[in-house]
Amino acid sequence: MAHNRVLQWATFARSWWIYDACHQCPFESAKRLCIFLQGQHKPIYHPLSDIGDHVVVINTKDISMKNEYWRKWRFHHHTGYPSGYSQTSAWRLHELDDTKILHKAVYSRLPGNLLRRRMMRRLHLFPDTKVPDDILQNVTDQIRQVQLIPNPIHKYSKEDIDNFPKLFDWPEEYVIDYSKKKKDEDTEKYF
Amino acid sequence: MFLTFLNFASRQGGADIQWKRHMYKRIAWSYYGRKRNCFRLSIRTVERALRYSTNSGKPKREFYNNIVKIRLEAACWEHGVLYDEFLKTLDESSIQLNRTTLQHLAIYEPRTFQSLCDFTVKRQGELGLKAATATTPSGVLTRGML
Repeated sequence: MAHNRVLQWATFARSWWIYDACHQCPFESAKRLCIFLQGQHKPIYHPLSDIGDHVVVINTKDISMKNEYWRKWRFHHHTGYPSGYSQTSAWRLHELDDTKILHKAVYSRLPGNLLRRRMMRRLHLFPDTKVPDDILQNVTDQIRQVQLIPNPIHKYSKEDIDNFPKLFDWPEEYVIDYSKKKKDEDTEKYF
Repeated sequence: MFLTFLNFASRQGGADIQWKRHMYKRIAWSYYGRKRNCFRLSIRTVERALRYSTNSGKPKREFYNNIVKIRLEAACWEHGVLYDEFLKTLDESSIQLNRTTLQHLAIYEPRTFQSLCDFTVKRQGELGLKAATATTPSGVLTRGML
């Protein structure tokens, strides 16, 4: 059994977590990351205790948005000066800065109090897997991804596809995609 | 002189009014200006202050209940159990521990809380189809019935 001093130190230590944002929704990820930034994953949580942890996010450039959000989701900005209002689509902002979408998602998700800026300073965003050594050395644990990424069909081997227990398959003549229909000589003569 | 109506109109028989004013003065000692010294002005402020002091009951309870909930969710996550299922299983097993006590256990008696979580996991495993497919524990005499 460890010394009480060590247990105390271990309980109140500020740990570093790593999160892979590849193919993840930024808003769902923000929901999860805010819990760690605020310290809500600890049984000793209190909003004024400042027990939030550091979170290192990698692959923010590979973030994914659902449906038409890349085109339709708008980020608003006002410089404070007259006629200083502008809107940017998500894809345009992502082109300008790969980390900004996730940064804004987490910022808007955190409570709007004076601790928010402090928690944002503990969020470290990187567009790819290149993380500085002094940050990587601190990382102790990983946050599970929010969304399951299904494997694309080309990642499965031919044996896996053939041996998959298929219940049934459409006959060859059944047309699912009309553009891929094979030209039939019997019907072609009528056109 | 006709004095009967005066008798009805007089407010004699009660306690000295100064005691009431003394009570209000004790509450309003730190107020600004004549509210501090003049009774007629201080009753307005003091009565409002006393009314407003009762406002914090409900939000205070909600605030602390929310913190207790977040703490229990965190503690359950640490042991790989879901918060709702944990409480439901404890309730079904008639382990009558309220959330405040559970939260205290999670902070100050972590191993006790871990044993509670392990108990809920095992109990959930005993229910439903899992029980049918699970192996019988050793040292149990079944006489071929199970």
